[in-house]
Amino acid sequence: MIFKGEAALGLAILLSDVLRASYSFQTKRPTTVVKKTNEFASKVEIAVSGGAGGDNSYTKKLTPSKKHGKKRLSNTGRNSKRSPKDNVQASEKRGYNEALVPTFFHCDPEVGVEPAYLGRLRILSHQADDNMAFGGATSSKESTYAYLIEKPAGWSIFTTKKKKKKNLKKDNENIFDDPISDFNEGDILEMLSPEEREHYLSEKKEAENKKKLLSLRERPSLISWLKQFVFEQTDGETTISAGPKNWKALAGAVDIDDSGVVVLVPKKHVSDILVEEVVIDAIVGNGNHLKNELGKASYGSETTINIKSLQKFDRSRREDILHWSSASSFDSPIVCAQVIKPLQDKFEDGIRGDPHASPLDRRAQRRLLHCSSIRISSLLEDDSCECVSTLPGDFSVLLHDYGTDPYGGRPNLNQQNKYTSAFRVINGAPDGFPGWIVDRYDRWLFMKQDDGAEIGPLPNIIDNDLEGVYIFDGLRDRSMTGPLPKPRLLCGSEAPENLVVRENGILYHVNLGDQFSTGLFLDQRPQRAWLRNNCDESMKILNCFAHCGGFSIAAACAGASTVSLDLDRKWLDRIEIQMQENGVCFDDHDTSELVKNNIYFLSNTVPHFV
Amino acid sequence: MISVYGDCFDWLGRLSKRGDLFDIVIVDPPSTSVGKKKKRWSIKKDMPALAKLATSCVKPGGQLWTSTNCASLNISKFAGMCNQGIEESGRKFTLERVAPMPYDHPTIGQQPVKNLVWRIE
Repeated sequence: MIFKGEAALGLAILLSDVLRASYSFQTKRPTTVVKKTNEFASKVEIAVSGGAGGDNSYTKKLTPSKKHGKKRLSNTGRNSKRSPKDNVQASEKRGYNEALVPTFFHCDPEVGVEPAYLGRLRILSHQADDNMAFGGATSSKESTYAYLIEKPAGWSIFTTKKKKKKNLKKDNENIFDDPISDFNEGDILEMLSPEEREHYLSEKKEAENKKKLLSLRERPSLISWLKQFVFEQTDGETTISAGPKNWKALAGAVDIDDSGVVVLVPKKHVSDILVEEVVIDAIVGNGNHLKNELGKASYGSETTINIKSLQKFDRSRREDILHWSSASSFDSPIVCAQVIKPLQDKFEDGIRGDPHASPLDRRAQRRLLHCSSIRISSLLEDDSCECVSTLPGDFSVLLHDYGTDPYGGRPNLNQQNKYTSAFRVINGAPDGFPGWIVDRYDRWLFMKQDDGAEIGPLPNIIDNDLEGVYIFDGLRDRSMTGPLPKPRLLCGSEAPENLVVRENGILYHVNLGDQFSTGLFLDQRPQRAWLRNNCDESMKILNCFAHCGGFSIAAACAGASTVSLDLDRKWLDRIEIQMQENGVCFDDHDTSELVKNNIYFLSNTVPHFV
Repeated sequence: MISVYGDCFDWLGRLSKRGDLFDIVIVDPPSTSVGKKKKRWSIKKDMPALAKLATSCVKPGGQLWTSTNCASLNISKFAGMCNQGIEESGRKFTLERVAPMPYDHPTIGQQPVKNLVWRIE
């Protein structure tokens, strides 16, 4: 409280800076990006090629970065050639060890993000009832529809479980007459003959083992969601049968990693609709890693795909330039994977995060393809439907698209997300603010400012939802010996010593005023979510270098028993209280009442939020 | 739920000697540190040894999760070192997952935090 006056003064100065910064953030920003782009391009060009003139065509702009890339890459002894063919050679030369290609490629679904119903198209009115048996709607009073759904990344169209069901159905056609009845193992076993039962059980065991190798948990499926949605919307009057036998994902975000609009059509009616237009947004820029084996993706060679470059981002990104572009096709049902090849051909770079292009050097959690709009019409009825999907968080963060509110911070990751209250709002240079990092922990901001770094914006500071701001300045050499500086409260009130934040529905404690580390590393959020989804009561987890035990807590909340090792008792001692906060009994090995069902959506399993 | 205070190298050795096996072993070492016996540890030098030691605590069919936030260590190198260490344990294994950082931590170039999940047979 000695520093009250100073803090108030600091706040005033800071606010004026903030306002100034936000002003430029709000109004100048887009133009700055473009301007700097040109500046950079022409400047480097002069240095490199002796001033080729004012031609700002695409290839010219590429030149400086290419040179720069070459220089950098030669330092590390890597090949810097850029064409797809050369890239094969490059990766061969780099010697990708076969053992170092992961077996599992897809991204996990984000906790709390659900699909959205966008619209539907009436393919056929209800009169033609002979099609109804499994053409989509099973009620004879209902028409047949194609659905446009917004698919979150990480969701699959069909469940793997359904596949098992389908195999069974082949053998025992009559078991699954009722499409709503859930997969009930007891009932099935009762109906089977002893031989069949044995066969079923051995098959099941095999399938389970196989599945266990990939992931312990079921990936959520869009068709199951749609089935539930239609059932609820019509008060149980209409049911659609789920399963790959009846439905086809015709266009748009079809693969697990894609996001955005997807068209789901009853299989019988695929030829009865016209996909008039599909627009797919992409972020290109994958450190020159290209996907070489395009396989299925290149099948639509006769389809014309128009590519539009929307924006190029190379401000402070000389070695990692991003292109935001959109690919569209008319009168042809394209899926996201089909635009990879044309985009790679145009930009000579891969889709950011594409695991097939660079299995190890992943720069995004998934390949960044998003189907932003689809227009379809029925060939049998007078009906058409056009739906759009806004860009998801992983796009808008890279595109600096913070919406209209410069203080808004990360889209889709704000206070409205009821599962997560701790996240990064500004991440230094990649966000355009070198040396300026802002994290949000519930109602407090925690900033880190490098020596000499310019002050950046403070998101959320005026949204009346903040209680205090901490700053940790002088991020010099952290390996330096001697006492490290402490973060100080810049304005507002102090945070409690153990501030409770929630992350994917689990509660953690952080300590903002103590030292550089708050006790929770925000960049491991998806990994803690993964642990929670992949652990159960039968599992034992060993967490070495546990620090504050974030991984242990996530695993324990899923029922696993944990052993945490660390050399620092001060940090270890904070694990127990955090476990208790989540209802995990620290001394008992399997008392987690908290989560009996480990599913992706935590709404039913989290007892309380603060 | 147990917390154990001590040097991770010592304890990994102790646990594997006792035959304590785990479904998932998480190893997220600091880039450099000084251990209990004033032993200097550096990830660039000692990661293979740590990976080998940690592998000995993994149940057959379990997972080893290696992670680092050492920005100066690129992921191929890190993966290579883990690979070497696990190989030395003599057990069959595959690299199962490469887990990137969340999207609120965008990067220029390679990501500073690397997470690799290995399946140990």
